[in-house]
Amino acid sequence: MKSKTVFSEKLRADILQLKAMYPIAQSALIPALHRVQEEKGHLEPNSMLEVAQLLGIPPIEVMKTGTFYTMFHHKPVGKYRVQVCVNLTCSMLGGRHLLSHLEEKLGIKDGETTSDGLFTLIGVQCLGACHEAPVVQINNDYHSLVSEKKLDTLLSSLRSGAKR
Amino acid sequence: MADIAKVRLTIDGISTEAEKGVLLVEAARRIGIKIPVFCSHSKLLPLGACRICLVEIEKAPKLVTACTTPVGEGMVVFTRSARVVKARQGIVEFLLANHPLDCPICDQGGECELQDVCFEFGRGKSRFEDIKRNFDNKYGRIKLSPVLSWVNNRCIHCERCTRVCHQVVGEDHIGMLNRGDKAMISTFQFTQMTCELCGNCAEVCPTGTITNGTVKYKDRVWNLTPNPSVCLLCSSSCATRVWTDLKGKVTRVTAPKDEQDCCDFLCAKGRFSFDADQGEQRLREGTKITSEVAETFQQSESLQPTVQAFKALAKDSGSTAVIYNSRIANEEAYLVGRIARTVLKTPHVVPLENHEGLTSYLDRFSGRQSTSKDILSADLILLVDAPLARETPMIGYFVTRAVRQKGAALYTVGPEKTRHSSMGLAHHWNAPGASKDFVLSLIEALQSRKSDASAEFNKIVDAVQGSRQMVIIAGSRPLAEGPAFIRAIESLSSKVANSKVLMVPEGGNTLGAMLMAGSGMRVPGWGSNVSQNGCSVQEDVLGAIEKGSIKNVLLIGEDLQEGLINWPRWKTAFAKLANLVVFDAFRSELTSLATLAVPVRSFHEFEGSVLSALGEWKIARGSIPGAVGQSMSRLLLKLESELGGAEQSFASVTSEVKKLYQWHVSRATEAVEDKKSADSAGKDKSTGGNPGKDGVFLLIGNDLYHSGAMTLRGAHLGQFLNRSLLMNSADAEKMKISNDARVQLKIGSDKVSVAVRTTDDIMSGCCFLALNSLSPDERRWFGGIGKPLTAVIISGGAA
Repeated sequence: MKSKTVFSEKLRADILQLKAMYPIAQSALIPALHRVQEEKGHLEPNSMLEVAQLLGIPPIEVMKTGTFYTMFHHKPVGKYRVQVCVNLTCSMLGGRHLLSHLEEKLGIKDGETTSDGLFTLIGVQCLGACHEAPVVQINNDYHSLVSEKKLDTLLSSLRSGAKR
Repeated sequence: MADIAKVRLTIDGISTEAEKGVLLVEAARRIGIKIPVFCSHSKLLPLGACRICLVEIEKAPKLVTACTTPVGEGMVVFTRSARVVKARQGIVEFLLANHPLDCPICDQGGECELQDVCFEFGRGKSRFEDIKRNFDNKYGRIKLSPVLSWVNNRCIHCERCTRVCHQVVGEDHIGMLNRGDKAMISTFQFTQMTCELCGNCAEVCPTGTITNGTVKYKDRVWNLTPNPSVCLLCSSSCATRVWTDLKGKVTRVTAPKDEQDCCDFLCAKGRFSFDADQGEQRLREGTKITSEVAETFQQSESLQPTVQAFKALAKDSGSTAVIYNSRIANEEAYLVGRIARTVLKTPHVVPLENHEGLTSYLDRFSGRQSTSKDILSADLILLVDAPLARETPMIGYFVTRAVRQKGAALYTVGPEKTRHSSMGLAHHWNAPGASKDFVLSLIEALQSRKSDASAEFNKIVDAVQGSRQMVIIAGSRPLAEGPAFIRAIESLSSKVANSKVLMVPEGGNTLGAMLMAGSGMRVPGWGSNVSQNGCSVQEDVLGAIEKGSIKNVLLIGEDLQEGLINWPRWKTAFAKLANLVVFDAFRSELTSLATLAVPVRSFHEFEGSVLSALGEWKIARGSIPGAVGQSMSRLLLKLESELGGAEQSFASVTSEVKKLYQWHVSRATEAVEDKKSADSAGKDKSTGGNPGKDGVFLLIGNDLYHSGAMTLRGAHLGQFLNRSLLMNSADAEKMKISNDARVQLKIGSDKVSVAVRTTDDIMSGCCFLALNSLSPDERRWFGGIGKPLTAVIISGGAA
């Protein structure tokens, strides 16, 4: 079964270049998925199939890895992906309250995207920064020792930044 | 094996000895101590995920997993200490936190490993008050195969199924998606599974997550009785357990669970085709035609009509042809051969499966072909035009294990990329019918490299030169190339130290039947007073009937009509006969034409021994309740004594058969020693035929769930039937044929209409069509096992 390509020439070339960097093709899987997400916003089944074909690994391997990590998205997401840690340490220091605060403030539920396509709210498990709990990750940036007030400032600065 | 260092250790106060590297769980099993396991399986690599096998080792600070810890000198192990029991109790409690309490409606109930462990180590009461994990219907019950039932809510995440899929089946179809409590086993986008080794994930599942869907809700396992048997549907001839219910009806087939290497898995054919012999098409009553009137009789009463018929056959010595196929036991074949030559006094003994190279292979390799152990210990495996997954899935299973678990290097050669090509290091395209040429050029290249060879070919040459233990496996197509191929491969094998050869014929007990019954041209082991000038292939018999020199035909086996090439011609020829006696397990046009049709036992009901392609001697006891009447060997023995022969017991036939096999083995060994110095490989190269300017090679074989007409006879496997012509994508593009388009395939003067599936896995100029997807009328142009036909593809116009 051969599907039509859903990737740009550049993306295909980049993935093949990543593949060449590792002795085992499967090692290039996570960097490749990041690269796809960077370009397409999220991982569609067809994208995962194409990654599998480019790397020469079974599609299920891509699906396994792609669905294991919360950093990979399977539905379209907003410009800013707000990931709030609700694991043990963060929860004890108010992580879950932050999540409900954001739900109220943005008018969306965990996992949803605002109608203006700006924010996607995701409650996630450990982000690996318990010493700075509660932690919120927005796209690739960590924000530590977050309070409701700090979050509000962050959101409005992102909003105004988005307008620019 | 004596030089493997042993260590002494103590398990639960019992002092024992085990070879270095043996895992604790295995060392304990050998002295009768059972350590519970979920993720561990004797045929899978260790994982250590479920923690239920935790044991205490003296001086070790923490409990360790017995399934991943090798034995050590002086180790003192406790498998039932208070610490261990408490730890296991905790693990069980966590496993049950999300496991539904649906044992009463779960088909695994009664043979569920989780249930057993819970009874032994569970608390009996749950402290969890939270809501259990519950996948919505879309995920909880997913339909991934017509014959498997899938309930993800019951999964305990041991990953046995996904590891079987990778290491044993070699498909990489299923995997664990998501994480934590959302983790579930599925395929990529819920695609349907069509594995040749279907059902092994269900077999290893320790819970009711994956179960055999064909028996879902039909019975409880404690009402079933396992009967040891052997499957005759391909030349792997695997041992099976055939389970019957309280009424004696066969409800399922599983692999026997003992510690031999061959015996933990089965292929789809072996597992799911059991319903084929329960249907309408089963021949249950015999028919006898006397002066245009057909009488029926019960199988138990078949002796008298059979004796009369054989008296009629024996009257005119030499005018009877005896045709057998390979779905018979060694004893049956031996008796058929003996009755033909001594009672019927005819030289015409003909095997239906006609591999040109088979006798030559048996003369040279009997008893010294590669065994399953050789495959598992090989460092290089070369598959020469051997679509193992399709022809003999369980030999493919050993190759998959050798590659995925033991790190053997695998190279494939041939006109098709098979399931194993994707695991291999390289695939060398080689035209159908030209396997001998490949072997000869490989021999040449071992001495001096050729500059024009392809990169893949050179990789194979390098690998062969560097191999320590090589196994060459060839399928039925090379075997059909005839004795020249066998000589070539023998020559190759003699030039590479420590190399073994395995040829995989079509059919069931193909090797055993040929050794025991022989053919018209080949009667070794039967003494010198037996004529060796009889017909030996079915075409000869057909010609002789048409000329009138053969007036009677005796056909013995199962699914016989399937093996008769060009059925319409046979049908006309049969009308000329005085007597047509058929022993078959299935009703067909053939049995309705017969003057005497005798019902016999089927491919898993039979009694006797079988010689598998791997040279193993398998015994079927014929003890399945509800099997049709008596076994054929016993009927033939009675028949022989009624016709004036000496009375003989079944047991003494068995020992004669074994002796005859030993004779063949020693003969093959002597033949090798004789020829050691002589290099008899023919240097003449064959072109492998030519499909013509517009033509293609049509490869014909047995698709996935095939064995004769089994796919059509059984409801389970029929669901997988895929009738399409596999065609090279580039060829299709050139001919402007799109995927799924309908085309006309012209073979000789016949035309067949089929849908095209384009693929890169077939060589340019070749097509593949599954024979079992065609009706008997369409199948008539089929030209014998392994022979590629030539055909012309005519674009069908409107799709």
